[in-house]
Amino acid sequence: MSKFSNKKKKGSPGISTASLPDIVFMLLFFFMVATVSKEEDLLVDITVPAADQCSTLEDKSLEVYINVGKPSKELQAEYGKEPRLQLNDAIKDISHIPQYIEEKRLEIKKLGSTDELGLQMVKKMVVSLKVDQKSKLGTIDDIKQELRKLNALRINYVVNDAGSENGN
Amino acid sequence: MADIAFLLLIFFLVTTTMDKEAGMMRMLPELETEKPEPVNRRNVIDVLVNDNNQVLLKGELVEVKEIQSRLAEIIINDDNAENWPENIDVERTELEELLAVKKAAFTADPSSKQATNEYENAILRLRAKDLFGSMFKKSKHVVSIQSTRGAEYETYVAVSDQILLAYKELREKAVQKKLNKSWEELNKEEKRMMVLMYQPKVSEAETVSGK
Repeated sequence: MSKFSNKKKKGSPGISTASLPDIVFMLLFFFMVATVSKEEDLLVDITVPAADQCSTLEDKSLEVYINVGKPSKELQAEYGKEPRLQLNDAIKDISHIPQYIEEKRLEIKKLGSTDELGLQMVKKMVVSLKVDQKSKLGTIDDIKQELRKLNALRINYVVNDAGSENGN
Repeated sequence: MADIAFLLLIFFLVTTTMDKEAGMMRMLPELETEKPEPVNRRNVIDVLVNDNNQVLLKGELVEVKEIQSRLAEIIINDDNAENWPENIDVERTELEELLAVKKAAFTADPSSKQATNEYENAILRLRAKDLFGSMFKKSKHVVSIQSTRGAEYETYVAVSDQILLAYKELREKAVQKKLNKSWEELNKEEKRMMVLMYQPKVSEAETVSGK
């Protein structure tokens, strides 16, 4: 009776699954580190002005962006150097705003579980104007007039929070 | 190994922050279907910004940085100057009546967010009246920002910021004077009460054409 009996199993041993969690974690980390949450690609250069008295919006899903600024360098040949609007992923004109707002309203309406809730959410929609600090107010005013015509009255000027405390 | 992985996972979870965007909320005026009701000239504090980014505050050329203190003075109008906005005394009974109305609306429909909100505000107003006495006034002012088309957005935001800072100054002064506290020492409810007492009234006007 030997203690070290040579019990050779027949066939190949199964692959150990002990390291499987490690592999899963490594994959998880790889993806966590490698993914950047998709931000809208800005086609226009925007430096938002700084302000002290600002607040943060509660609900991102009700926010609709209108970006205004000079087209970025690569696009200047096509779109010129004057400040332009960016709606979704394209440079557009002020005349495209109605269609854009309508599209967004439909999208927001779908977020509500019922039609009525959806409509309530649409009413709370906020148009965030992300505007370059060197833009002229004439452009912004045209946008505001357009929004008034569409009855999208809640707007938000995106600013850079310069104060330590959030105003109310 | 799994422990290390968990540690790392938790570390990343804690350290990553989604950056929140800050902003200034505004309500645009509705497209006028009928003529707006007339306001007394003295109650309109107009702030004009021109193409050269100069600022005119109630007819006076000021630096952007000065707006805060000047505007605070104008809104509160301690000496009751004739061309500055009027502040009307509020009677306690008036606030009590308002509270009764809001309370009725709230009890009728406690699930309504708006009714709850208005009811809470009415309570806070009454509390402010009890705390601040004659300092609690109803101001009829409205700050109207106007600009030329060529003015820069940066100046516009800076001016808007200064206007909000003016209200903050008023609140802080009142708190210091009557409650002998700094703003940071107030609790959430008291802060809300102060905001109700000095509520920003800013109107977004259209740009003025030409120079």
